[in-house]
Amino acid sequence: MIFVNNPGHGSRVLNTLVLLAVTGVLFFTLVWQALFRVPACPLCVLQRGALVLAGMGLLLNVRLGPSPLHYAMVIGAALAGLAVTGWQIVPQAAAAPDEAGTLLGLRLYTWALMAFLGLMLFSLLMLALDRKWGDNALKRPVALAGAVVMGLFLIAVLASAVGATLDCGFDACAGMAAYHPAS
Amino acid sequence: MAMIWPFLAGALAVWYGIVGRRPACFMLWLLTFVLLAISARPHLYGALPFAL
Repeated sequence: MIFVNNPGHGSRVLNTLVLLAVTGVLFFTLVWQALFRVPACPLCVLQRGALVLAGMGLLLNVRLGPSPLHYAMVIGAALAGLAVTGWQIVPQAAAAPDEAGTLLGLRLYTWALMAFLGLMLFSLLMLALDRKWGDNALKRPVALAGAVVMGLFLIAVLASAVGATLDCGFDACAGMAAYHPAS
Repeated sequence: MAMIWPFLAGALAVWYGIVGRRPACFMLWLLTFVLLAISARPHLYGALPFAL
């Protein structure tokens, strides 16, 4: 048992920052899709879903303190995201990139691949370096910044639900191309 | 299955995470994962355009 009020403060701050980054990516992809009128892309929606799953592990680290279970949630989600992203990248690797679908010269799904790899690397490092707090599910006081980031993440998840519905309607994007060449 | 369901389950999981109820959050995380896998199935069909 750990008799401190705020265990793992440093790692909770790091997790807050990474959760903020995940939230930013979720908002960015929705805005990007709206601005550039990118056609519906089921695999992009699935990648967003994997980001949401990874964010939940980070959120639990912020709310309850660091735990191997929470990092396992992040790694599991990142692996699923990597599988979907790989499925999107491989058939299109040889095609010429469309300028409208690139950011800093890379396709968005290449950025997604790096994001999932980064989440896995972050979790692996934290599991190796931040292992003294063990596992617990006791509620901890959360700083205002952490509470704001968690609230923003919830809004991003709800916005992603709306985005998925606008993209796919009320089915599983049936009949649509699994990916769009420019996205 | 509508793509909205995994995100709604995810939003509920996030809510339980925010209020600090880990068992509920984790079970809904699992449900979200399964729903996403079911949603992914139709789109991950088919052969790749080359042989591995």
